[in-house]
Amino acid sequence: MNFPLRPPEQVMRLARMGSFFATRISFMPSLLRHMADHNWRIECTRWDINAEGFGQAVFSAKSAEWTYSLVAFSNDLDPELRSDRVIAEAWDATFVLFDGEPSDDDLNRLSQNTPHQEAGRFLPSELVLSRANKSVRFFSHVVERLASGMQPDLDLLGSVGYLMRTTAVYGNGKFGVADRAKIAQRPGMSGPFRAELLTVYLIRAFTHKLVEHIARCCAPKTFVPLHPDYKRYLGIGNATGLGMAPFLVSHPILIHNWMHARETALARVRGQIKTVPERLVHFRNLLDRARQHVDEWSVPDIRQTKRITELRKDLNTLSQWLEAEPAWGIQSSPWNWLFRKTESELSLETQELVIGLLLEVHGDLVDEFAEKMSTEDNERHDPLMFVHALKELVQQHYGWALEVDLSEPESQQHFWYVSEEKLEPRFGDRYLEEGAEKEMPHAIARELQYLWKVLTESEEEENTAALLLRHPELRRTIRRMQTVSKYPYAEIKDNLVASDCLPIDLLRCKLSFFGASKFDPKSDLWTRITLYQGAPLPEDLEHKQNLDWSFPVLPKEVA
Amino acid sequence: MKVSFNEIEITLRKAALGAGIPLGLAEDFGRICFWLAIRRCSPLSVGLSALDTFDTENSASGDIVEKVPEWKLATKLGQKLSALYVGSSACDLLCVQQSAIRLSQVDVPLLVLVSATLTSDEYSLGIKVELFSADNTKSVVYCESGMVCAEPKVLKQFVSASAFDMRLLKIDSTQSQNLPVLFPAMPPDEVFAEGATVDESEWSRVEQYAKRMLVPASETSRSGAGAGEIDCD
Repeated sequence: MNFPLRPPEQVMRLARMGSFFATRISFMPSLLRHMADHNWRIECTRWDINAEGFGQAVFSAKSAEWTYSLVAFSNDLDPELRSDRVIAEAWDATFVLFDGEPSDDDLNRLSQNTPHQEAGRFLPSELVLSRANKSVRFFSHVVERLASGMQPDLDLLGSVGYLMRTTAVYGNGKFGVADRAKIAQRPGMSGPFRAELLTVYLIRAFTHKLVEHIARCCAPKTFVPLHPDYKRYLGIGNATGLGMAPFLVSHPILIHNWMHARETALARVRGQIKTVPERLVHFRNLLDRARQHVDEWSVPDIRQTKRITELRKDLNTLSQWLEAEPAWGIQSSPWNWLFRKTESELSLETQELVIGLLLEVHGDLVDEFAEKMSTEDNERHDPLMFVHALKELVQQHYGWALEVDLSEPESQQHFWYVSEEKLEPRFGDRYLEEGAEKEMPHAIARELQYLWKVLTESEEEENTAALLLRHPELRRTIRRMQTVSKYPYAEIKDNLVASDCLPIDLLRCKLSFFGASKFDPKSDLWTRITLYQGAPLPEDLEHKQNLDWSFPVLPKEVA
Repeated sequence: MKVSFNEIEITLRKAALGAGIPLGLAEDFGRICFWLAIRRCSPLSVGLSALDTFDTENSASGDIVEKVPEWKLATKLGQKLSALYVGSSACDLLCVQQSAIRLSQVDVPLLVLVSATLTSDEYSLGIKVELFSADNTKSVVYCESGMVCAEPKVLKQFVSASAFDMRLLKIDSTQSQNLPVLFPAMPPDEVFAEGATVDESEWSRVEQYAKRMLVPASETSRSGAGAGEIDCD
């Protein structure tokens, strides 16, 4: 049954996008599925790390045809220099993902450049550049515990959830590393951000080995290794700020493909007329796990805490519904019934979490969509289109933009710009800060209103080519609008410079597509997250086990 | 120094913005420089030539000054036509009507040629590009489905020429059949494994244009850059 997709007017709103959760078609789960399905092997091929944990190491991920090597440099960092800010200049560990197996000459060159990150220079033999800092209180705790023959404290494990957190992961040609085009056609690398997320996965393996190595060196006689369940729970933290936000605006076709894949997958599940008992059991079990996951999700941020509290209540309600209607699974279109009921009665966060549950129990139906989330298309304009047709497109796709009252100062309170410091995007106050004349083109509503004004003053039969000759400043707006008309999920239908715009919503949306969990907002501008928490270990991939890792929960306590 | 092709596209786009070119045209310029880079055609020197000429007001955007017998684009104040503007505009106009487009005194003809090549690919057009030298010698290149076909010696005219007239017209696909392919639609795969080698001083000059769009850092800008100064959490 073909089921209608949720309309862009419903999906492409900041409040909803800021409530997204990872699903099984997010990039990390789909990467790990690919690695398991295609018998990738991960091994540590070099470990020149001293007893204090400093030195260099290489972890290789090998598929049938290709080898990718994480080259890690662990440094003795002055605690006063440890900062999660992207503008930092020193880190506990720095990394590159090397295409192939690095020679000694490669390692020597990389040792001169990698620790400097943006200030270094890289070659097309490198695919990704990254760095990470220790979660000092937890890293030290784990070393002490393992050295004394004990596992880490479970509460501390739950409250932190990682040994290191990355503060940037750069790919696609940044600082001289290879263009994505070099690897985009390779098996396993065709999806978005695959090389970057493979890097993070290998960093996770590095942190596991590093903490065990230091503990073993401290007390070789009493040392015990991390229990695999604890190890699985340990992901990689990440601090993400505004650098990531404009991506959603500047890659409209790609964002459409992400959203369209997710919505099509949901529609396919909702369109199932009948289901089987095994799926119902899977769903109930997963719902229980998701409830525990949310119970264990605790953050200092007041706004997010309120949302989590509501989410816990909603998931309890959902569970009660299912208990109260035991026959729900044998009625016609059970999953649609469930989703409609959730949509009409529960919070945005709950609605979006339920999508994660629905997709998770229908892997056989939806996994193919994970392979449809990249794009080779470019935005292009149609020079033949007449003014009257352009006006129709504006009305059809940008009605929301025409309704924004630009005479209200709050409607243009903010501006996006690029700071000269590390060339990172920032979110300024137009009325308080310098630099608005250099703003990035994210004031979509204002641009569309200007276009509308020009169109209403132009001849109806003038074509786009002639219009653009008179108004070259409209080239990008018209190109974008004509693109959006073909890719309906390409545009966020909210004013991104309004006083009530929360960039954190953009971050969460993008990070959910990565597969992140445990969103921990630190302000409206940046968040911490956890990547690969609960994910299978390299040896699990090899044995194709522990691959069901959505909504991870704390392991049972081990003595 | 080595840079990626993505860096070339993005940095040249930002440089054009810094020079005052509207974003849509700056995007086109970035794509053109990417095209040149993956074909090893000196994108920086060509790009800087266009940026410098425009930035010093020796070139400008153009208008239609004649429509009969052909459309003609020229500047009003007698400057050169900036290829940053006119390449895209001329190709747009060529898409919508049958007559040829004549361009008067183009500053960097190679950029217009690449515009025509990209247009031939995106809109499935055959385009004949003519370049008239000072002695009125005509050099002809055919653009089809993203390919460039011509006698090899002809390309030198486009690379070395400055402020010459050009003429673009639509053609059917038979006209270029006997000419060698100077640039295939797709570059060899190895190009992405090799990256681009650029002259450091030229790269630095491109970056100077791009930096015009950067806002100086402040405490407020840093507040969006993550955690506090020290983070030993």
